[in-house]
Amino acid sequence: MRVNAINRGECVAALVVGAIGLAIVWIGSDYAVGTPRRIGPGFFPLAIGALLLMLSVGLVFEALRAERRSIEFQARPFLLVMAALASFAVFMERIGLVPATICLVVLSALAETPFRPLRTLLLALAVSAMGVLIFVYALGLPLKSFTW
Amino acid sequence: METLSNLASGFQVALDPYMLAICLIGVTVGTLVGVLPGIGAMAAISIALPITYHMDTTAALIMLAGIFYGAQYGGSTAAILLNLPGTATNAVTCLDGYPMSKQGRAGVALFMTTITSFVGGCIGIVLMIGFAPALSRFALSFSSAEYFSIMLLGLVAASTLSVGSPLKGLAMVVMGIALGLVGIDVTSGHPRYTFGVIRLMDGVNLLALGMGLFGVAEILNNLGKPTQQLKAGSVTLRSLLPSREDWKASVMPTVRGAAIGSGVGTLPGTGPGIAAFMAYAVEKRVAKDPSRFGHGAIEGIASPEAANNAAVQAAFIPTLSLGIPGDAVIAILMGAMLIHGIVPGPQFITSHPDTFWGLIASFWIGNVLLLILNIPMIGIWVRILTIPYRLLYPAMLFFVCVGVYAMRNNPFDVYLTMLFGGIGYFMLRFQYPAAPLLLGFILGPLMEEHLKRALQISRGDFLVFVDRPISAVFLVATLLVFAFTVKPAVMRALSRRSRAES
Repeated sequence: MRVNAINRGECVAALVVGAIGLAIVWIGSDYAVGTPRRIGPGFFPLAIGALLLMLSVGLVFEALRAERRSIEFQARPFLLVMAALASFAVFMERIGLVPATICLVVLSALAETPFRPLRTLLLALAVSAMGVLIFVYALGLPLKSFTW
Repeated sequence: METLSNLASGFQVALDPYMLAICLIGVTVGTLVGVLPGIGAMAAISIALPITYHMDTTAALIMLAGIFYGAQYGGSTAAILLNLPGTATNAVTCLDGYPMSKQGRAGVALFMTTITSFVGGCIGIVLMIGFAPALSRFALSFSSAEYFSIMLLGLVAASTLSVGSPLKGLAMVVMGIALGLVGIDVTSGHPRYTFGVIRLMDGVNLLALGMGLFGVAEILNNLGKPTQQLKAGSVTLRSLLPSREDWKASVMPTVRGAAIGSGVGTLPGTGPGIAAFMAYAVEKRVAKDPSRFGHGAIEGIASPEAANNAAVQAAFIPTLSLGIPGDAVIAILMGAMLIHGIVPGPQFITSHPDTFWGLIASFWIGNVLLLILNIPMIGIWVRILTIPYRLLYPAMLFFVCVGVYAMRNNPFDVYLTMLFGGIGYFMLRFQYPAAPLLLGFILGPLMEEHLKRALQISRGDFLVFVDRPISAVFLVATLLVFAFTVKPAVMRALSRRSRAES
């Protein structure tokens, strides 16, 4: 097996699983294990963490034999959608449902190219109107449309 | 006779105009999300969940269940017309559905999948009526040891009996159980893995996890992909009618598919997706001329569609009678029941007969409504497929955000959704399945609880799990599933290595 045929991405993914298992065991070792008759809060986490570690070893082996696929990652849509969700979380409480919705729709629409400003604005207004009608009026959820 | 009178009272509940309207909304939304590729039943149910907080429990369940089985009907539309599965469980339908549509037989394919869906669904419901009450009576004798073992069986089956790598599936189940650890330990009151965050004291929010992994991650994965546009009006009512040969060729596959779907669906942990794949594989094996498959064989759409609908209905059996979800989507539904203060389990059917039988009656009604929605009104759904994704995904993200936010009125859960969305995207990319993670997350805390109780009763003797015969049977079954799925995967990996070395 040639070294450059190793699927690096898969290996990293398997190692991440292992790292999480290790973290679970490490943090969990602070919790009381208890006795078999009365198992404490630490018993199950240790077992789960150890199981995850063992599985990650298997996954690393599987990754070493996996065929190499290129996994392309587009940063732009990913980051914009993340930013859109964060903006909703930030603005919802501070300035209300409608501005938060407009922010969410505009930021997430920027993820697709080409960006069409007018259509996006119309979509943002339509979605906010729908949101206010459904959630604030029809369902009566305790959400404020505007809070400034 | 008792069953008939129960069923009659169930119909009394479900035929109430309010319940009928709720059922209609559920199956319509289900068909809609099923038709649209990129939104699955999971995302739709997560989004609808906050709407049901203020509803009566029975109504909430009727609506959420309607979305679930409605999506199975709608999912075949995009599979046939665009070669894109509307939901993951319809992926197999693409194999022969899309070739049929290229041969100009899209109408026949759409008609046939609706009919077989209906037949499959009905067989699943009959099975549920016959089986769920009996199973829950049987399960009344279960102690914690049996519950632990059957949950183990469910989780191992859910993670390994799938299309991808069984090791990845297992790793994701364990990861889900680990996520379920977060929060205050019920018995000791000790906080675990909360990192001092107060919002995490009562655990990771199920909705944030489900919406992140299935809603946001799915959207991220679809962005940047070239989208296919469909020309509207390509299906006329006349083109729907199958020929006599089509009918004949579909009867036996439908029956076989429904049987496979019912069996697979009843198993805890395995749901419609696996059922459809198995049904397709079986059809290909029993066919006189297997080479026709993949080139528009009608058996190749009839059987999987019957199977996934039968499986959807049958998946309610372990959920309602044992409290063990048969599928990740049903796991969310179980979460909804818990929110409404109903604990699914052996006592559920006897203590909430109105809800149980009302739900079953609503399944019949819902399936009939779906027949109407999907045959005379198919043109509407085909037209909906022409809505560009550009307009859909911002609106979907909005529903995700509001749903998560409104559950507890705090922005923390929206951040959590964002985090799980990002993680879920990479999981999709590296083919780590998200459904087992969700099942592990729901079943993990229950398993820990039952493990504790079983050991307490046996005074610390671990042999209690093999001493009790029913528990031992479940454990043997778990080992068998494990041996059948993991061993071939290991052998395959080893043989690939030796080939690479030679």
